Amino acid sequence: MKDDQIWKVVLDQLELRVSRSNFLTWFRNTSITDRADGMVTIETKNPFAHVWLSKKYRSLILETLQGVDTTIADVKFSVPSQTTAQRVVKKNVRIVAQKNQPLPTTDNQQPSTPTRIGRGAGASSSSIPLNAKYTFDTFVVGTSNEIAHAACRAVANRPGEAYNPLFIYGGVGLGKTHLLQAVGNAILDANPSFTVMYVASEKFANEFVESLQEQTTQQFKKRYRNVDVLIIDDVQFFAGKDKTQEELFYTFNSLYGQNKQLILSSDRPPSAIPTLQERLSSRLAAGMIADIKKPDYETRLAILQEKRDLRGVPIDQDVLVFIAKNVQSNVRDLEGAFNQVAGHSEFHNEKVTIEQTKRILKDTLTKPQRKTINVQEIIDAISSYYNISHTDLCGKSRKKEIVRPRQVAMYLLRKESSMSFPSIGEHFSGRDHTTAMHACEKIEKLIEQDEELSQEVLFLRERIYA
Amino acid sequence: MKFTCTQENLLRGISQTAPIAGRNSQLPILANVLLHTQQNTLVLTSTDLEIGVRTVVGGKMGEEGSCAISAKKLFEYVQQLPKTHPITIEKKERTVIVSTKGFTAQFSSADPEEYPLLPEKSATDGITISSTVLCEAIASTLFAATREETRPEIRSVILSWRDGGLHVAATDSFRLAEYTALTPSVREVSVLLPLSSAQEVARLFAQVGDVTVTPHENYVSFESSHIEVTSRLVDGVYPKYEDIIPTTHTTEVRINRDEFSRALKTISVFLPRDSKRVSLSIRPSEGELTARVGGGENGEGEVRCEIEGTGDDIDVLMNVQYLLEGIAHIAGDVCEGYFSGKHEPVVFRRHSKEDAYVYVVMPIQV
Repeated sequence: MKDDQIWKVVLDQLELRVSRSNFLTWFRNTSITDRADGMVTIETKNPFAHVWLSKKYRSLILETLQGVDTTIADVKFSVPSQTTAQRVVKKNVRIVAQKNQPLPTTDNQQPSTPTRIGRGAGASSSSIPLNAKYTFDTFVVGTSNEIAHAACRAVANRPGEAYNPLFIYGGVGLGKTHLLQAVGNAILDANPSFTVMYVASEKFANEFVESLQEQTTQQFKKRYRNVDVLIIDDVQFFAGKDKTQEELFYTFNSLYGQNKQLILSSDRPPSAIPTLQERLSSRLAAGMIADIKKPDYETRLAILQEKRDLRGVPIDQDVLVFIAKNVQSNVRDLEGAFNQVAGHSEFHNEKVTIEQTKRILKDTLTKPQRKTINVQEIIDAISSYYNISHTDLCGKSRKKEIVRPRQVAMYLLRKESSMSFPSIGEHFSGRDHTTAMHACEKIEKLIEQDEELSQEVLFLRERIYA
Repeated sequence: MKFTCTQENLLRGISQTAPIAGRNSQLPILANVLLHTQQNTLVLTSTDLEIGVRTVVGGKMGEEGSCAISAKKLFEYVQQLPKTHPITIEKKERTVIVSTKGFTAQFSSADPEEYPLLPEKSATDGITISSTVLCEAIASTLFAATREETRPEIRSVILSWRDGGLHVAATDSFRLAEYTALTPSVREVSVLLPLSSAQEVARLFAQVGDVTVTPHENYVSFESSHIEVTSRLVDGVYPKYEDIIPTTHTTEVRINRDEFSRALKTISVFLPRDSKRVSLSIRPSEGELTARVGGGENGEGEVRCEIEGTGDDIDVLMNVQYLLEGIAHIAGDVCEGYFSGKHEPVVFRRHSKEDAYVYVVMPIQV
């Protein structure tokens, strides 16, 4: 095994044996720098940690190391001395010297927000993938998204002041990315000097991991903390990535402290993202939260009209009405259907009739909206989501922790697989069909009132159909 | 553990250590201050893992021992106690009783074994310097250090002993302040002290006699008879700032410091919101310097000062806050300004037998 692999295994084990705060305090930024003749040298950046590790954790670390590699006989600790530190940062020195020789001649009229030299360079290197086609002008506003739209407008007009952070959530294909990018574009139009960073959460996480591997975390931090607007799309993917969440947390604090605008999106509210650390989720929820719901019929029609005008294809209103009525799921599917019809029209250079539309969209429309779901899949999804075993879920126990998931299961079985009430009852240790009916009614009612439950059910449905 | 001392002594010890405690919220025990009794003294220790402070209070020891209790609570409590009677600190199992005549309080103690240790000394050859000089040097440069967390290498103050003196400097890349104390130094060494540690050093060592500065391999310690401060060093390299300080100039003026400062403050009244821009017109031949703010909604203003000087006429735009902060730290009645044009750095200097001060600031470019 390589040194860093060994150390990773050791850290994983140590994390279980010391408290979280101790682990983060003492073991962060540690690494094995040398291993020869059974002697392992562990380096830490902080002289305080050096003393503590060698006094308090020495035997624990040695024991754990020996558990991983039996050839290890002893361990010692080191801190990079000033001379080695200088070698490591030599690359930075050159940049620093350039920046300061002579004192930068930028406009220093506002010491509170000094224009940093090298900002332009920083911005271009991070290549902002803002798509110019996403603007507010092309965004169709309806009752389902007007709040989110208004909030984004406000943020675009007064970045860092209106709502900070702004958190937009909604299901797939409803226009979150469009809105986020529109804000970015609008801010850039109004303030060309601003650095706007748009990043998908996955990219943020990957870059962070990469920077850890290549030990370029400083550059990573610099890149994300020197922006005026940071937009992070799909933050639900941070779930379960503790280190990345921690980094996001610090980035968040740093930007928020400088009144820089943060905009985030997710498919559910921060509180409903599983395993998102509480301090992070409370921060995300601290500004403005706006949701985007599925578009209603009028909005769908307006979107189609907008598309038609933008593309300049002559398509009858009737046809648009037909599409709007029949494609209900989300904007992306709506666009797909429209593109099929418009493509046909352009290709044959003729106006499309309703009959033709039906034919063109036959596959899309008649395609079973959902794949057939069997009972086992639903039960699996529920038992893994709520972390309850199959036997408990289908068993006799009437404990509160089990009853609610069981009711959700009955509800989903009824709704998604159209099983009869008696056979649902049968499935859960031969319960009566009235029990199943009661469960369905109860959950149906609760979903209306309880946002959390409604999110849970939504999430379960997505899992089942994934 | 049992210890008795005066309220004043105890309060001094706590007020020196308490501000450090609680800064690092990651590790809960750091919100405490560690008390340890040995040889008729009480040693108080606090750290945030960037800087550690250890201070000694004299008194009468009953029993040796140690405890760790909430720094904030202890400070607020002892602050209120009367000065008339001695205070007794006594540890019984996990509670610590702090009492004096008429007052008794119980604190719960964290496990003192869990309290982080300060780094051990790895070097012995320190440099001894008068605390007045050290604090003056840090305090008069600290303000120029950047507050930006993304640039740790200049979010710091550099102390370097070389060329027969101690040079202390700070910059935020728009301006630079350097203080030079002409004290003979035995060897060449430099220490890059983080901003927060520099603030603490200047606060803690004001008027304590001599301070010994010992640079260790990867940290630095400051020691006086009662206090010992240990600080992490900044991981980075300070820019070679000596090259930025201009050595030539086209215009040289001498101006009364108070008058200049008052002129700048007066016209600041007319500064538009968020602007710090003041234009200076220097006319050495007429013996006059005019500071002007104009054109905004707030009206405009103009103040003239008498100067003595030689060289070309010069007009520059300056950040008034940078000017005021700089000249505030130039001791003495007269400040010397050196100008070389509207795009060239402006230098203010002061010299005396014991020390020298240089402040370089960039004009605003339009």
